[in-house]
Amino acid sequence: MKSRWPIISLYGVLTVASIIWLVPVATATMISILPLDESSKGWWNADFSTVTLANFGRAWQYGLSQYTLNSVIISLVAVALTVTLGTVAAYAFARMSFRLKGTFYFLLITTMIVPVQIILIPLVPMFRTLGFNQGWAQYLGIAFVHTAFGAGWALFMMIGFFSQIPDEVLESARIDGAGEFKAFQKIALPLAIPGIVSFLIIDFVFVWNDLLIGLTVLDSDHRPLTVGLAILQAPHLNQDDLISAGSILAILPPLVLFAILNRYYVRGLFVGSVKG
Amino acid sequence: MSVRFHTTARRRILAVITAAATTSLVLAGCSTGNSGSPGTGSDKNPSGTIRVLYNWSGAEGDAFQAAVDGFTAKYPDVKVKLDNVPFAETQSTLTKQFAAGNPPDVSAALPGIVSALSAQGLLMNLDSMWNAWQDSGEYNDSLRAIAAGSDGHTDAVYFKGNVNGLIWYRTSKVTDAGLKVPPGSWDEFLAMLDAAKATGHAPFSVGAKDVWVPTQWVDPIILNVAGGKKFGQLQRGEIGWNDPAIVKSFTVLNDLITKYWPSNALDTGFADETCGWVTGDHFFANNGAFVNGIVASCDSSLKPGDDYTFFTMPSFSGSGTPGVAVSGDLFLGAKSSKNPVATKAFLKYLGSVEGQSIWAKRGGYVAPNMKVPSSVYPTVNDQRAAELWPKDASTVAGYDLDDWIGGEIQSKYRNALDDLIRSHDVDAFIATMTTVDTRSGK
Amino acid sequence: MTSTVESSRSGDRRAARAHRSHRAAVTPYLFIGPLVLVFAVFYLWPAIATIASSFFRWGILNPWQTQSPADWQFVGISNYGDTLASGDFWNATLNSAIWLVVFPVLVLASSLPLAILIWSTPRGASFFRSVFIVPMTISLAAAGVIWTFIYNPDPNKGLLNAALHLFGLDNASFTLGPLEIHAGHWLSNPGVLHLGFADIRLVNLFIIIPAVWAFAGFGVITFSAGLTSVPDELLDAARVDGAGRIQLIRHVVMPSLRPSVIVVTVISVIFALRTFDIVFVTTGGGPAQDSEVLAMLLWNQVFQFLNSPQGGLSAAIAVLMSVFMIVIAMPYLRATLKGNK
Repeated sequence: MKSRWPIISLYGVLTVASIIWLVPVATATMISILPLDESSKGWWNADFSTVTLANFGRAWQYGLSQYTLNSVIISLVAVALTVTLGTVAAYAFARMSFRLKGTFYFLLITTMIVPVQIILIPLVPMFRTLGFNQGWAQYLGIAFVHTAFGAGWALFMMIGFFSQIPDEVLESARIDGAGEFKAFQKIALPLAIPGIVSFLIIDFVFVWNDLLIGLTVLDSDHRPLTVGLAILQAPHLNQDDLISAGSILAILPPLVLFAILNRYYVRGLFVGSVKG
Repeated sequence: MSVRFHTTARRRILAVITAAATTSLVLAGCSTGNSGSPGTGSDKNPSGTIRVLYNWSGAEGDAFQAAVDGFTAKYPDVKVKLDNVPFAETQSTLTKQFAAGNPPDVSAALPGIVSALSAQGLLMNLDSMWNAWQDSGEYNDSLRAIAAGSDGHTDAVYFKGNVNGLIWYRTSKVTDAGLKVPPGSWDEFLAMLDAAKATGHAPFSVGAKDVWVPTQWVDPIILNVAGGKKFGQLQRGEIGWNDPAIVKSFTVLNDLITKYWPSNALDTGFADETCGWVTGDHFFANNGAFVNGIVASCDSSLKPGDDYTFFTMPSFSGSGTPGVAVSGDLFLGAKSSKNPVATKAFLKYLGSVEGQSIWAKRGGYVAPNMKVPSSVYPTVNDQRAAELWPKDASTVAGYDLDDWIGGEIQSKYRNALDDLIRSHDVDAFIATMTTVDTRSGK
Repeated sequence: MTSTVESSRSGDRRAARAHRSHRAAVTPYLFIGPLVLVFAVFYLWPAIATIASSFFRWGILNPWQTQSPADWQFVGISNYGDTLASGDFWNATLNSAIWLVVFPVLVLASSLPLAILIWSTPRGASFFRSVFIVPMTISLAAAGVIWTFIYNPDPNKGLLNAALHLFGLDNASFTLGPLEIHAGHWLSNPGVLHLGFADIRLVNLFIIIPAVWAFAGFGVITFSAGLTSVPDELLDAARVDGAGRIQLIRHVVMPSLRPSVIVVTVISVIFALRTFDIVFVTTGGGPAQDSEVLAMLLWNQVFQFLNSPQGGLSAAIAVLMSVFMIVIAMPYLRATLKGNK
């Protein structure tokens, strides 16, 4: 480089963009850690000696504790189901040949494209018929919906991972007389673990962040955090303190997961979006 | 009819009367009645759990909680599980839960949704409860008609009354600005608003981001400009929105919006509306009696009556007193409730003097039950509002137009009002409403 | 899709060898069976119910159900006719169309330059990439809530209006040709673009911005991945030829990003049409029906308009949305399928 200016302006632009990108979360964080009468003056004018975590405590008691628990349960059950069923199916799509493979693949992959509205309304009477409309059975019901809805993504991403396993590796297992399931379990699965983890994170983010399905099929005791947040925000009361604390609580779990498993997440999107 | 409630549908009243007659015949025939029937003394001891859906938050939520506590103190065997939803989400939440076959035992509701749910036979018949109340003079036919379902029965109790069209203000602020309150005539009213506007601030604080707020402006103005009779006809779909008296009402409203509303009305929610005149730049707000209970959330040092109070709009035509705009919240019981005994006990409690006195004592509330004494109200503002409650035959009153109609018309009416607020185009508003509400056939 | 193609072909070869054994013919179905079963019950079946119910008149309180044919009120295609004749539908379609165009464009316009800038940095790339990826983990519901703080009309609370206030621009209204602007009213009445045949309500734009903020990270990741595939030899060769930075990007980098651009566009379009959450928490479709998108209209019709049961109309909208999506995503879908045959 002859001049230092290009590099300085490069970092300048990126720094400004980063600040713009961080402002919304910073704003919500500021409001959440200030008492309401301080944040009402504008957090940039606030007296920061008043910083407190009390808003989080109150939001937690306000019902967010239950919503958080619901979100955790729904996400865990749904992700476990999707990853288990999706992995097994993806292996078959990647490594086996069978009749109607194209048809099944087409049908499953449409879940990625067709808007969720196509299934939404009949879920209400259907849950009633199947007994998923009350109590803890709702967790299972919505987990199944997320599994079905995530099937396309699961295949789209994980077929890619299984395809990367060299033929010879699996071939050797078969020569040793192992069945297809053994080959999957003992050889393919361990090799695909990094890919599975990255799908797991993406699916977790998907499920955790769903509002519409939870809003439609769950009763008040089982609603997830996203719905709880919408409800907290809706009355237009002077409760920005609670709302901001709620929004921080809602974004924290996927964020923490992202921080811990950053590498997998990025890698998963790389593979899923470009190679898939 | 003891009250000339112009708003009540003839059809509904007829249905109520028929139902009442039938029920009393049945009751006369068999003295036991059904299991939860009040007034017959045959109640089983209520126990178990009931789920109650309600839509108040903040101070109002606390007040409702106090009423629930009163119930559980009386019936310690019953556990009440409360489920709070935002006001604007009440109908969709309730609809989803009924559709899912998992409705709450008891729910807050407005007449429109009571009418829609009862049409599907989903609501508990509360005729016997109302018969007993009417026998003891706690309610009259007109109040009962508001809670009537479309299945020929009374399917809800009237828990919380409200008087609308009250112009709230801070006494000191108004005096300091040299404004004369209350204005004695419509011209004085406008002159007062012009004087307020001359101070450089929009006279009214308006929280039109909450869709129900602008609707609270319409009712008192139609009752005042077009009169109680036209109000009732419009509500029942007997006249169209293009009726000259209705068009005139909206022209008057539009003038008030154009001249005296702030430009940020659509950005402001109800809570900010209240603080806008309590602690902010504005002088007035036109809203219901319940505002009295909200003021403390903006400034808890103010004394109701002395520091802030209200007046009602002067007569537009200059003759007579304008009709009272009332609204309020009903509670319904699900027919499919697994605990009908406790459900009925709870509903009965909500409609009773005892149940309503609890919130009445806390203020910001008008008891629909006519036997609730005015002495229970804590402040002079509450007492004055309660005195406006249409108990006697000479009062002209209109129940909240869009809450009563409900459904698609209500939803689109609110949209059209939003559009009127920013476009100031009365003709477009009337044209929209004429296509939306085709009940009159015009 | 390359890897899928290769592996599937080898899969075919293997399968051909294993075909003699009967077990092999059953095994694949055992593998895909559980997922297909869940899919059939919780997706295929409700989707079929939606399609079927769009030919009947019903309301959510008494929903159309296969097991109760006695309640069916067949109305033919009149739900479609009524939908296509309704002003509400076209209003919502216009708003959804704004989403379909503006959202992908803004996602591309923000994430592509950012990804290239990050890629050009000698160090710190992963830090900057993280900054833009983080909002991706945030739900659109939470993103909407968080942005309502930024959009707060009170200049003492909302950052944007505080800035406007600083410049004395609060409540400034002005007109620029067909464009009408009301500064500071971000989520209520920010302005209109009068196009003659239609009015574009700018409130949609201010709901799209938070969605772009949350979604741009996906673009950044995808483009970053695409950039790793730019051949070094090509870059070096171009540099030797004395190509400037801009030319380098235009002639060498951009062509290799074509697949990534397609992926980001397709996925943004998919998300844009589905939009519900962020509208629900920010404006609820208002003011009036300015930000009512198709998903919102469908929701209102089924859960709010009970007196005139409109479940069938909602179903018709869902079907129209799906058909539209399948048609425009078909080329992409076909490419995916080809990879798997």
